[in-house]
Amino acid sequence: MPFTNLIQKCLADDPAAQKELYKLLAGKLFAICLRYTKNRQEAEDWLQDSFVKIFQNLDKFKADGSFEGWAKRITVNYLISEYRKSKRFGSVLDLDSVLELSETQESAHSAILYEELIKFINLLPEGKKLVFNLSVLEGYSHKEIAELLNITEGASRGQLAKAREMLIEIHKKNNTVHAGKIY
Amino acid sequence: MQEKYTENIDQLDSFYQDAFQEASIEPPTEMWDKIRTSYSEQKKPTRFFTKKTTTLLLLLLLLISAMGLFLYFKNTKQQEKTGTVNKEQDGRNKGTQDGELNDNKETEAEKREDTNKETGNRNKQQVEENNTKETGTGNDKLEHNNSTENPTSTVGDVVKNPTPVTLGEEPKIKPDTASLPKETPKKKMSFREKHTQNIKSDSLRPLFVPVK
Repeated sequence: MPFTNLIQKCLADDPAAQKELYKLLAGKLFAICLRYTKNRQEAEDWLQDSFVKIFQNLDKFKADGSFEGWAKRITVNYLISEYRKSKRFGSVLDLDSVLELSETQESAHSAILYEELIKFINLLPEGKKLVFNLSVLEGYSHKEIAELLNITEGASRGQLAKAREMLIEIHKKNNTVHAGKIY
Repeated sequence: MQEKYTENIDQLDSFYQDAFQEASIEPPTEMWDKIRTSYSEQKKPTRFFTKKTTTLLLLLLLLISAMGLFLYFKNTKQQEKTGTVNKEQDGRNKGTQDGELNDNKETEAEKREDTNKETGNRNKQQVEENNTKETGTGNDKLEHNNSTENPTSTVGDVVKNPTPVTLGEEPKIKPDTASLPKETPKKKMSFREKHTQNIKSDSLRPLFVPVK
């Protein structure tokens, strides 16, 4: 396991090891943070807090699982708690306004595919975005999502279905290359 | 239509999953410094109540409480024992105080009788000896003065005023009461004295007295 030595050093409060661990995880965790917020500054703040949480709870990590998966889970759990605090679930975005917004986004032929896709995801209303991220990209079951977001499993399924519909619409309107692949 | 929709959904999911599988977006360069300062500020305070310390404290608490209980029960048992022993002792003391007085009187009277008897016997022997000496000289009647005639004799010490003795008669000898130990009048003990005596005797008593 590549992280084992680093974790041991980090537990001994070695700043060099902590920086090394940060370098290995920062890009992936920042991509996750960006999927949950439109605001880049907010994503940076979340990344910072997530890393602090990871370092603080490093002694709780059990070596039998994947460290990267554990770190991602800590980040996602933190993001959900932030969502709960800000009570963003109620906000519903009108699809037309989403499409208008999406038209202003960068071209679909962008070199960095996932950054563009992050923008599409961020066009979704908060609740639907959260369920889509958790279900499709993080691999959570509807039962887990229902527990995390304090909603019913049916509501989670409904939100996911609507999120998918909206994303298809976004791709259609943007007439992207990916849309061609999807449709 | 439905088939195409589900197909599209599956494609959408797999498309996003593939795209984000190895997604990595570099955060700003100053991010690490921010994280480092934030982490050092929010470092977990060293907990006093760790598993080890809590178990140790619990064990210590148990030990102290067990010792306390042991001492408490030990003291109560001792108090119970000493209480019963004191009662017994008091009962005995009451009995012996009355009995002792009577016994002392009896023993003193007996002693006196014994000494009287002894001195009487001695006097008798002395008189007999004297008589045999006097009969040896040929005098039938003799006024006898032991103190002048026989100064070495010890009888003279005992009998200072001898009465004239005629042969065939038993001499009347008064017992010498002066040589006897004088009877000291028994001092009446006050309640306080008795009480202090009891306390003194209690203090000498061993802690553990086997109860019969």
